[in-house]
Amino acid sequence: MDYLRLENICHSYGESRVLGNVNLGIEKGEFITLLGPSGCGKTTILKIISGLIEPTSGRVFLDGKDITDLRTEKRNMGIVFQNYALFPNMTVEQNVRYGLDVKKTGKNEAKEKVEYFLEMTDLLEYRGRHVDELSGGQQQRVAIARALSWDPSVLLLDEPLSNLDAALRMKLRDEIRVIQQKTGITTVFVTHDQHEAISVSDRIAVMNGGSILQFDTPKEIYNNPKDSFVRSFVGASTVVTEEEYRMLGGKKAFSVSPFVRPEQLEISDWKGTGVKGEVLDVVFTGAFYEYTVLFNGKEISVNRLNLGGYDMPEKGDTVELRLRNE
Amino acid sequence: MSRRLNGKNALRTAVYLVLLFFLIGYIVLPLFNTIGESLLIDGKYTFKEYVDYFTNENQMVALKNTVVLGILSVVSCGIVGTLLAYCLTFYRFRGQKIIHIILLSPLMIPGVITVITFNQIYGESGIVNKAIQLLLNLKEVPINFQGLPAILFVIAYTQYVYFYMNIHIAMKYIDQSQIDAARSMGAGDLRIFRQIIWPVIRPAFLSSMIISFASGISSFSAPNLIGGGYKVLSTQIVKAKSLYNMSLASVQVVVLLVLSVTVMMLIRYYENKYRSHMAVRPVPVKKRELTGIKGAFIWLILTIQVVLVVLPVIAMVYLSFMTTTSIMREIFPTAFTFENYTEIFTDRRAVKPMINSLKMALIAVGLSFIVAVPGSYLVARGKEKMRNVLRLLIMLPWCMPGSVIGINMINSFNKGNLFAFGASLIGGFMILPIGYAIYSLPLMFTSSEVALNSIDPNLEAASRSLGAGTLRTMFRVVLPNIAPGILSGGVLVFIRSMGEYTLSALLYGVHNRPISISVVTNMQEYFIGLSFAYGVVTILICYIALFIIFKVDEKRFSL
Ligand SMILES: Nc1ncnc2c1ncn2[C@@H]1O[C@H](COP(=O)(O)OP(=O)(O)OP(=O)(O)O)[C@@H](O)[C@H]1O
Ligand SMILES: [Mg+2]
Repeated sequence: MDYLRLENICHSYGESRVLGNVNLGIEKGEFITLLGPSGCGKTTILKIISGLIEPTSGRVFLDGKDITDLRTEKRNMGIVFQNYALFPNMTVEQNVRYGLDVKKTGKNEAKEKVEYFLEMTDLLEYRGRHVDELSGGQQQRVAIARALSWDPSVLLLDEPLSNLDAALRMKLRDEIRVIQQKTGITTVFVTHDQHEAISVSDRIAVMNGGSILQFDTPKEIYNNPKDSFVRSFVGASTVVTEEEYRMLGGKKAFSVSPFVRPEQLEISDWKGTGVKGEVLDVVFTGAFYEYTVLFNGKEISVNRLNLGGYDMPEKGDTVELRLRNE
Repeated sequence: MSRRLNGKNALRTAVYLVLLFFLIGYIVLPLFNTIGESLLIDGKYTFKEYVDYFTNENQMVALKNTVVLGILSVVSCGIVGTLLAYCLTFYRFRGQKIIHIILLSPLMIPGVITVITFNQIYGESGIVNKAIQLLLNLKEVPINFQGLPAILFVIAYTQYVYFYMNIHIAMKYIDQSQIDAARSMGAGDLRIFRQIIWPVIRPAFLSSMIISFASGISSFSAPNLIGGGYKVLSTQIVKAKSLYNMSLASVQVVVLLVLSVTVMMLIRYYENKYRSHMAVRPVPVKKRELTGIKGAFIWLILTIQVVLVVLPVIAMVYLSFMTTTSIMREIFPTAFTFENYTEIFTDRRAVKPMINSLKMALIAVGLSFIVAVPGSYLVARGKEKMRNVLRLLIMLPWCMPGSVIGINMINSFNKGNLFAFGASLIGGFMILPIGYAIYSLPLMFTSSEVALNSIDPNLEAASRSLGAGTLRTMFRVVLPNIAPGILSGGVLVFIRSMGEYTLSALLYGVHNRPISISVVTNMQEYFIGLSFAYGVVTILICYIALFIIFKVDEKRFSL
């Protein structure tokens, strides 16, 4: 049975409707991601789960109980806010202790827990610092430690990585996943970055315009999008006709119009056996050559792995295209 | 609806109702009582008192004088304050920080003390006056420090601070890159001022105009003590009250109130009409060195201003160590004594006003705190409708001069009053601290509101999500984070209350005679040294408070 469930959730801020009939079921211990463009209602869903706002209609269930009318402070959830919202008047340790103090945890137990989570997030040496003396990455880890420390039943993370630079983002993304696996806590992660979503989630809910379009494993979302928005939002792709797809050697059946992804196409010099295309442009990105090929009057993106050779098709060359089939 | 909303709303509604109870009881109803009093003659409502008032030539002169004083104080404070802000923003020179602090300091010196000291320096037997007479061997003293010019002088050299402070802050948003861009396209100084600088400082300029006009039309100590027959509305109000003519006083209060509200709304209207757009991240202006004729001129202005600000303080400290006889007999008093201080610190009757003022200022801070902080929280986070009503009521005293608040209080609390739980407050100790608190409520509210708006609302969400209830969130998260703002607001309220004179003159009694009244009466009874000792102690207390502000709210007051 679903551990956390949203049923027919609708929400409007005044006149403007931001969520239309959202249904979502999450299993215990699962790590799911809400993925969608800015303004699609991701934060609003998190706020409804945590009780910070009340949905206009619909119900929220946790562990079989209807918690829609339960106040935030009674829901036992850990939230990591988009901007962390650390208490600036407190030290790292006091921030992490806050939830435990509220719960009136015994002194020794609280101390142990704080230390456990500070250690897990690699913050022990900063415990006495004020939070404004920390770097962005450290602040983010304080926010996670604070949210986890009081044994929440669900962990909610609202774009926790969006303020960080690319390298740190990758590192912390992996840390979050490791922490989640260590604690086994049911987690809802919000992001608008598809790579982030794909690399950490058990399942992804792709959203647009206030609805969930597809809720599936990362592989299914990528390989088998049920919706043209999902296809275009996750990964690069070129839409082709059924006929073109067969010409390229494709065998799959589609629930949306057929499409090809750049890394699924093979590009080679013209030998006269495949379908013919003309190189319009090529960009070298290190690991790949990114080609734009004119095929049947259509511009198709194709990636070719860089294996170290120099003898590549160039702009203006006629090339052969073929889908790699499993 | 749901139970969860009811629980949260119950506390909110309770606080809201308590606030409304006090705001209505102490601000709105007293105002209506005054309006009622102005219309009521022998149990009947009539406009007779108004007709009498508007046909009385003397009264019309006072009314005209009041308006003139308001306009002239805007002009004089505007010139002085803007000029100074300009100098400190665009030029670099040594001692800038000290000069900035000196320029802000008149804020900390109660008006009544300034007036008395100015009089001692520039007045008929004042040091400067006598010195010039002696030097030039004149038959009569050269400066006649009385009437409108004297009042204006005092106002310009004390109230310019609002212009100075506001415009100085606004000028931080002037964008040097815009100035450079304009210059590269051939714009001259005037055009740059009109098109780049003026739009940025306009809001600050307009709101300082309001403050300045308001303090001009409500000024009481200067017209009362050095006015020399220059009658204005507030002196007339206090006079009518002392003759027990409450209906005349009430009519004058209504007129003064209408005047101040009209002008405020007029300026507010312009303020909204010309909303300006600030640069998001302005490049700070390049400061120039003080060189050439322009530099010399600016030096001169700054020097004069600093001397004008510092001289009274020095004079006051000096005179407080002189015997009264020596002050009265000699041009440059030299008879040194500690007597004045020993007297105000040892004579129980003389200590009393200081204790009273300290106590009352602290109570006023407490009272305004109790209303303004929860009030600003409800305004910042509450429902739309509640918000507007509450804000309006709390800000209402902003357009009430001290004399208006005073008369309102008399009209309402001279007999048992429901809102004072049946007691009559007039003549009691609490009437003054309550009056001070009402007077400063908008100031406290604004400080707290600014602080609240600058903290992240997610902090409260974070606290609640970690299981904390409303009260814990309030005391552990919200209050600690707005503390610097409300503390500095509290200090300002404290300082204003320490030396408040207008309300005090209307409301004090035997139990709560404040320091400002003692300063004046001692002066009038020729205990001049004593009077100055009181002044010095007051200023000292205010400077200690100022020091605390600088420490807790460095950002707002720093250069
Ligand atoms: N308090 C509010 N009042 C009115 N409209 C709001 C409010 N909060 C959000 N909205 C609107 O609701 C929509 C969804 O907002 P939400 O914050 O849930 O988006 P999001 O998916 O989290 O976006 P982002 O990725 O930019 O954080 C947006 O169009 C936003 O403008
Ligand atoms: Mg968001």
